[in-house]
Amino acid sequence: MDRGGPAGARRHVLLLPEYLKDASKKMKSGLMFVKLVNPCSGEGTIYLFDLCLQQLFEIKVFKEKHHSWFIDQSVQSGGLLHFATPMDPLFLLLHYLRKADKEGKFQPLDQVVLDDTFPNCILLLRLPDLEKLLQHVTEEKEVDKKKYYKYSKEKTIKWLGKKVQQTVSALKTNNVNVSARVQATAFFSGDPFSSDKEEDYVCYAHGLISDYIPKELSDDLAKYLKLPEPSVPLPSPPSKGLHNELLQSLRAITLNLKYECPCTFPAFVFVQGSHVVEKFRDFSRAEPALRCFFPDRRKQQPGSEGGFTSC
Amino acid sequence: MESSEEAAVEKCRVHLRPGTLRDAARATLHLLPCEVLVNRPAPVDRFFTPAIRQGPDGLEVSFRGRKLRGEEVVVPPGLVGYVMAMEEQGEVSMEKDFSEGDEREEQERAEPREALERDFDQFIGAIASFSRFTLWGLETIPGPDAKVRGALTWPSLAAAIHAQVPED
Repeated sequence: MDRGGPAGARRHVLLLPEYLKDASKKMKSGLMFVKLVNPCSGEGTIYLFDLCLQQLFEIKVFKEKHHSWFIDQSVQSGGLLHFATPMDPLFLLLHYLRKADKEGKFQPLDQVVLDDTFPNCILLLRLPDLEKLLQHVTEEKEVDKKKYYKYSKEKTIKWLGKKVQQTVSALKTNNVNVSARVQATAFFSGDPFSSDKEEDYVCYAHGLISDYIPKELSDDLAKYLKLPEPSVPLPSPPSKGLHNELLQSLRAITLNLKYECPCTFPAFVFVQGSHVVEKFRDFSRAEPALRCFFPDRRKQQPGSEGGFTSC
Repeated sequence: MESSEEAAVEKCRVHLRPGTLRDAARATLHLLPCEVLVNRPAPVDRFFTPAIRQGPDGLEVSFRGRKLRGEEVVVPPGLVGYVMAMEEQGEVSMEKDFSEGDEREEQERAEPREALERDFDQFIGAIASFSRFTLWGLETIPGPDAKVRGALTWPSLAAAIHAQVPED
């Protein structure tokens, strides 16, 4: 450790549900970050499994340009803030069910959830109540006490419609969620949503849900919800706008365990807007390459600043 | 990185050491409105913290000739903040030797070869925890419209999105 060990290492600032801490008392292992296919983008994305609680979490990262952390007696570039929140595993299973549907037959789940690129997907099979979940998106057959499943688009759209509805009611009734909408709206320069029309809520919820399904399903869902055709390129289409503002602050990043940061930049740079105000030279010695847990922003998908991503 | 190693990334699991979630000491965090392009120790308590003043409407600090205005941001209820660090591969740190070595042996006895941990896997642990941090704005108080405050409402929105839908 000629660099002073952990002192020079990359830190990750992460918000976790408090119950993970309590559950950790009973466990020695089973909490793990793995890369799985993102059901929306199809790219590798980080999720967190708690095999003790049998729960799946998605990881999103909040990132705003020109921010950094002071963490005790150290400085950390990027100012990233990660969130781990419980995730419905059905969104991930749906990816495999749709893929398997091309074969057009009923199959057992363990033959559907297979992935050469992301073999950790088999961890999904350890989650509880999968049979119950699958009823929402598949037709099933039982032969010799073994269940066989086939993707059902009709059921899936109906299930997604319910997801939208419950998201809408959460937006309306839950104070925090309503304020989230207000804040998300406030991100806009021109606020096109001055009224709280039902359609705005539905558009917003549709945008949120669309982050977990492929575009084709998202379009079908929009038709099912009778949302206006997105063909008219409004300056800020409702679902896109709100969705982008909140969620692009929380941008999905791709876990790249081996990524080496060429952290050979100069130093403190104070920035106001995009204008460099002043440079500082303290802490300015070049940093050796560091292994990053999460990728550098240059490896992330393009998107707006101050946004969310899933990991 | 060689392509073989790139491929291994997709298979790799990064195990979060559960014990570190309980043992992590409290840390003081400041989210600064500036870029710092290095990750390294910094004498925060010598130059930054002592300069913080309570102004009429929030915290103030003069930092390298720039005025920063700040305020406390509390982590939403039900969440805990952690600072995590990857364990270097091949690094058998002193800490790990005496704090986790026994646990791992114990675990191997208790859970014979569940094979959750493989040779090529990596480990990450919490090195500190926090329940609040100081958010700084350049010249102005970040205020209720600060983007990070919007982000902090994400967990409750995510809960609605991912809640199970009722049966028919």
